[in-house]
Amino acid sequence: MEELRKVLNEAKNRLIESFGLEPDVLLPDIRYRVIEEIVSTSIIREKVELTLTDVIDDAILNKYLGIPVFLSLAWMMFQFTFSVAAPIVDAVDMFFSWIGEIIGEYISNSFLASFLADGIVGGLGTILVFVPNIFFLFLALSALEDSGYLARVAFIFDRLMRKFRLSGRSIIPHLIGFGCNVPGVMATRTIAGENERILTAITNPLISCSARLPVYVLFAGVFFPDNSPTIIFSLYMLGIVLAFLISFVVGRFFLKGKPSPLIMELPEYSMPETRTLLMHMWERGIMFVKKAGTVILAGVIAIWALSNLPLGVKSVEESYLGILGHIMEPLFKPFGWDWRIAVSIVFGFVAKEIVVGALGMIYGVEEEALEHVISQTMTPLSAYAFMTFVLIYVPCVATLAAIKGELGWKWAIFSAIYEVILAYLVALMIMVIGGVMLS
Amino acid sequence: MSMLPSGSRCVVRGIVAGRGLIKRLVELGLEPGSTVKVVRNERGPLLIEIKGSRLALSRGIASKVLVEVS
Amino acid sequence: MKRIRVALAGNPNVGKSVIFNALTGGRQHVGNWPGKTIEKKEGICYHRGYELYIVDLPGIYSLTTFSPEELIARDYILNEKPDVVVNIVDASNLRRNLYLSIQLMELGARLIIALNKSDLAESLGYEIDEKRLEKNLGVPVVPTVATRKIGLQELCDKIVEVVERGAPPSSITYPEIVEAEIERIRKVLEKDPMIRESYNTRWLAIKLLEGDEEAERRILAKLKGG
Repeated sequence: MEELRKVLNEAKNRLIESFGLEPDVLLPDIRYRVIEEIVSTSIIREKVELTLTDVIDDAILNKYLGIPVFLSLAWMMFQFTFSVAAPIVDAVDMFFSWIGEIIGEYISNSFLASFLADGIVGGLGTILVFVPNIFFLFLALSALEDSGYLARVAFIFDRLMRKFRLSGRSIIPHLIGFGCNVPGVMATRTIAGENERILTAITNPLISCSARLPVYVLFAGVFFPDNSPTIIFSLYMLGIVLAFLISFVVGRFFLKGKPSPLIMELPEYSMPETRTLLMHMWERGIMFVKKAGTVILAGVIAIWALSNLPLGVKSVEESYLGILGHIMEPLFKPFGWDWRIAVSIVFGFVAKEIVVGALGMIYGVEEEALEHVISQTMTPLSAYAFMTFVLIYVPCVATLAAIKGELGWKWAIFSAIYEVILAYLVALMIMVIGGVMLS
Repeated sequence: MSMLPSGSRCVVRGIVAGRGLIKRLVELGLEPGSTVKVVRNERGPLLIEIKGSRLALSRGIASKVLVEVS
Repeated sequence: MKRIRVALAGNPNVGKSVIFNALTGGRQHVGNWPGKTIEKKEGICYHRGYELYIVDLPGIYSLTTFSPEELIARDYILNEKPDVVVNIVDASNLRRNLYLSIQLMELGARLIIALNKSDLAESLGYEIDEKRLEKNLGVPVVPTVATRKIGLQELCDKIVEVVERGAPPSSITYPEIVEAEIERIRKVLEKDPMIRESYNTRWLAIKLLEGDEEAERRILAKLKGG
């Protein structure tokens, strides 16, 4: 209505004249004046000049101390997560193997027995085996967050992250990603700018999660026995470098919009309450189990079906999965991988920790003998290429589901596609460069 | 404000930015006449204290806040 | 059983989710706000024969329209009109937190302030006179330390009391000059019956004065016969 506009403009002009401020600045100003009046008689004593927070921040945000403090805390967090959880993980593992055996004993129909034992119990086992790790990770993370420290981490890393089109807050999901990419992707929710959030989420799978470690340990142990820690470290580094590289490239060339400016509150440091910590841990843990669990269970059953059908097949090679492996084999000729490796890659799509078990099943040997068999079928170079392929290719379904949950189908599919292509290219480059270097 | 050394105090005189950003900063406490303590200004974002709470601001934003040293 | 609809509002990091969980325990449901990826938490709490239906609004610094969270909170209070809005305020950060409280009072919400983290405030050296604060604000103030479950019973008592008493919606008065302009705008708004019925015209007038784009858009839509 024209009358409204007229009255509004007149009112604004009058206020600008009276106060010398635009109304959209004036109103907040007046509100704060009202607050000051209210508070002047209600706050009997103000806070001390130098609080605990000031003192701690002085140390933690220090140019030289900041990053070392962070690295030590991060290391402690992972130590805590893996060592404390380890006995529980072993117990869960044993329990599920035992159940699998019992089922085998009591159910005569071998197809049904296999479905229950390998499909369902196996699937549940896969998930539940790393659930203790996840819960402890969330506990440690909640402690860091509730104490107020995590905001400081974002502050410290902001400048560096911006160079790659990320935000200081991006460091946290990537840190979590070392444990598992699923909560890592979910953690991107707290990142303010949309572009920064997208980039962090789609590059998170490049951070080597703990599920890939068994694959690295196995192959590095077999092919690089003297240097395995170095080799494994190089893979972690490769992942990190690629994450930043892709973030920069996608951010620069594929995304529109300016980077979001940093405006972030740094809360006072406070000692987290145990009950609250446990509550946060439980909340996030359960959400993870529900989201990832259902997806992984479905995936394991699907894989089981593919490897045990058509009915009556005697070996993996004859099953649908084996056929699929043979179809894929030519793609992997440049790397010298046969159909078995191709099949294990399909397994890895569901969950990376089952790759080793899958290889055992495909070769038909126990894990101890696996090392011997593998060393016969690959060269060190192709093994290294394989490890990088596992590092980079397609996030596991649970991670993909998480990306879809946070960013939608478009980005989930984009992640899947770019990672497969990237994995193939990098593995290829390794074969070529390695081939040249070795000859 | 991005030019002030760590530990200095100043008073906000104005903000030179788009309306949306001005509004946001003012609502967080950076209104004309309010006192700001620059807690930390090394490389990277600034850490300021305003109305009793600590805020991290990117250099770009801080440079848009015009202040008078007190 | 009579139902009281409660909305929890407050800045991020004030302990809102701790209070929500303490009140609702296992009786909560987590979903999403319609059309958004922002979490919506709803829960139930039984107190003195009433069923308290509690919605945890996203943490926000203000009720302007910078972010989807702010829009969600403000739409919920405007459209769903909860019986009580519990504004959780961080005692260690009072001034900045009260900025939202003032805006909630502009909205005419029936406000109760939960003054949380009193232990932290004390350890920082603050001493706050809650009774005085209550008097100055004109709104009930309940001190709480959510992490130790202190003050929660009193909070629920106050929620029931405010409803049973039929307390009026809270309001805030600005300097005369400003009030005069608000009133002028309000009179024009009141002329349109559609607007008068759908909105709190005083709040709308303040928002228009502030140059709030969302408010402008809503009015335009209503005027065009939306």
